Amino acid sequence: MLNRLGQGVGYDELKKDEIINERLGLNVNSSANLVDLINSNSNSGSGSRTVEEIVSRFQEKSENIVSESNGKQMVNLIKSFLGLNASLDTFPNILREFVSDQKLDFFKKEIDGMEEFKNAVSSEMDISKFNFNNDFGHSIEFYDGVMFEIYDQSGNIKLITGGRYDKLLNILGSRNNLSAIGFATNNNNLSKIL
Amino acid sequence: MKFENKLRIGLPSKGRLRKDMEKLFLGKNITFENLVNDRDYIGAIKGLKDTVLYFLSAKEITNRLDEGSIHVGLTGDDLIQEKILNFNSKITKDLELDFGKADLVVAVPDIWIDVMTMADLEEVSNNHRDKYSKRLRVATKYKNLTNNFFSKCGVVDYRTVESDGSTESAPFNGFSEIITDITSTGETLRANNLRVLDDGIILKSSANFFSSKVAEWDKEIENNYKNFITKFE
Repeated sequence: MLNRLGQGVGYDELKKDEIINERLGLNVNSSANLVDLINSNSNSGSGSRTVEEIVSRFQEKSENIVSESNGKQMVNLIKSFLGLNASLDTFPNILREFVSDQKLDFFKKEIDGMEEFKNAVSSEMDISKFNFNNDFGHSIEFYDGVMFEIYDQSGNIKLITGGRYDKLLNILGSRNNLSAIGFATNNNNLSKIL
Repeated sequence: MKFENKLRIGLPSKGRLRKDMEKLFLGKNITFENLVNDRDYIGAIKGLKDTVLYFLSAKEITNRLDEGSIHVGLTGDDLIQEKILNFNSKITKDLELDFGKADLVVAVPDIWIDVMTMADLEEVSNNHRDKYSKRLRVATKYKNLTNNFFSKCGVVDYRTVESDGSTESAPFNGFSEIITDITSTGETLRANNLRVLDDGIILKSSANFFSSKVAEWDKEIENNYKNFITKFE
């Protein structure tokens, strides 16, 4: 994904005509109604993707053109964001600095939320031991929000891994939305320290 | 007839591969003879002592190499890499041949005009899962190679659907969204309104002589093998 962004994304109108020409064998202007054209000219299946879906993604690509140099800039920005890693008591400020350094005007709400969380937790415990890392994730793919790990005092023995998986039930087929947070304990490691 | 202490070679018994193999042997003036009159599945080579030929399907040759019950076999890279776990530790590729050429490729319906690369596929599969809570289905005969390639490209929101024949019809029939399949000219794919992604080549395959590290080798068998393989160089 990042590699691709670094090479530039999207295509202009000319390229668009070329693609339609080449991929569909239709000699048309890209301003034509592609949905109708495809529906009346192709007898291939599109799997469960609808023609509307395909065309709308295709059109988006010509509206959001990212040049190669802009793409590289974006990649650098994302990489430096992912590189942020600090304890929870300093993290909101680090994020604020990052946002103003990079002249970004989003994340304000999120940072305030984090500040609130920090204040709430710090009244209960020592938050300097909470480490926050932007480039952190589990290899298990059902997590879709914050993920966490809990270690023993020494910081070497991993006791708990978990996170948010708000969409898991939907993926398994549920029609109702149900947010969830959960974790697994490593019982072998737990028994070592108890 | 005793087959112990003999060099055992698996050769293709049918199809294009068989025809191409016969042409190759003919070109090198190598003549088969039958060991047992009424069976075409076992043979020998004129002038090569202690060498037994088994005529098997390419799939079976791959299985027997994996198991070590033949020393040498003629089959494709695609089957070796798909069917044999840790093939590098079990099989050596000794001689690449000039036939059986085919690519294992990722193909999408040609009306997916917005999808040209594996990176597009990553995005589309992601959207697909968000939108339908279902994974993009990939019909294939090559589950392992497909999984390896997709994970190398960072595509995770898909599942493979095993297909044992006419895989190219799966998207049209609604059994899958996309496919991976072996193709030499691309004609079948085109006829089924499928298009290979720009960077969608999983493997370039050809026919080869492979030898099995799992089989039992001794000096004499190694010598016989040398006599056999040098005929092709």
